[in-house]
Amino acid sequence: MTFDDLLREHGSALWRVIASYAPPGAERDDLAQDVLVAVWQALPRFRGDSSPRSFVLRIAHNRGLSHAWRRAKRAPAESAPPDVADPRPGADEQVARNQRAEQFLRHVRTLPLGQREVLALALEGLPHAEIAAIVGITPENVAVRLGRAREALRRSLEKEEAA
Amino acid sequence: MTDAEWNSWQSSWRGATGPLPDVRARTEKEVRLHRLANVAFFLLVAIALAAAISVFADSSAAVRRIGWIIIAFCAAISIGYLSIQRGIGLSKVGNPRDALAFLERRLRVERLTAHLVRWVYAGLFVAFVIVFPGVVAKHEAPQLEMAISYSGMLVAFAVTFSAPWWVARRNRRHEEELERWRRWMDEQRL
Repeated sequence: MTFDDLLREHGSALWRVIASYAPPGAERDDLAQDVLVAVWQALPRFRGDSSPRSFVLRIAHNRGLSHAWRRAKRAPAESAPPDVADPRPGADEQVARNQRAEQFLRHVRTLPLGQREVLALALEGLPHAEIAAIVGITPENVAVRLGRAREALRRSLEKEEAA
Repeated sequence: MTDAEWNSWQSSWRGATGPLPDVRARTEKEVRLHRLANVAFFLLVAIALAAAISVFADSSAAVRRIGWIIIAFCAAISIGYLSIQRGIGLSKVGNPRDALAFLERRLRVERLTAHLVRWVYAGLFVAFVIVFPGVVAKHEAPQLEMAISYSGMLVAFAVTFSAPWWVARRNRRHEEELERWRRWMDEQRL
């Protein structure tokens, strides 16, 4: 499997996991670049022990955590996503969909990391066993964290709706 | 939680798409730098060995002894370094705890390497001090040559002998950072 094949098949999932760790803008671009370089470098060592999806998402997850660590050291507040108007005709619907998705991602990024990493992978449709292998915890622990993450996310979304 | 709610979340989640950057240029640059570092290391070893071997053409036994000393120095440094490096590598794309353990192993390697350099260079220095007077004995100004050589060797000896101290001092900040990282992972329940 080549780097291009991996990106073609799993690029969207990669991008979403990256987006759960970094807000839009230069910070996300940097993290994306960092993740892709890591995938590129790790690809020759990929022997098919796991699925290609697990392989790339594990890298994105680990790089995302390292990024979160560096971010925690700097301790900046998450800024609101910038309103970027798309001048192309007929792009309104796409912009609205992107904004909804970005708003949802913003809520995901407010979760504690231990919950966020599990939720992001579960939203990608990964089974508990695969998430456990990626994150390095037991499937039971995945279920517990996922339950807490869902509850926290629901509260966060309800809070915003109420406001 | 209802299935509808979860499906709605997944729909929002999967609706998020964006461009990924083209990373080939940066990756290729990193690969080139890595290769360059390896080439530089082996080049230095090769130069040292070539210099050592070239002195065997000299008729003086003292000069040939210098060649043996340099070969012994290269061998001791290389063998020591390789044995310290064994098992340090991060063989797979590990999780952050693996990465942390890897960084700790790196610090341990640096500490051990500093000790290796200290004692191997000390051996080289002592051997050089013993052998060098015989090399320059028949030269025009042996005292001057010895003064220049010994002062250079002495500076290098001071730097290498104090290596464990300044490496530990330099790494203290990294060790504190690793400790903070470990605490942070505990807090985040990672």
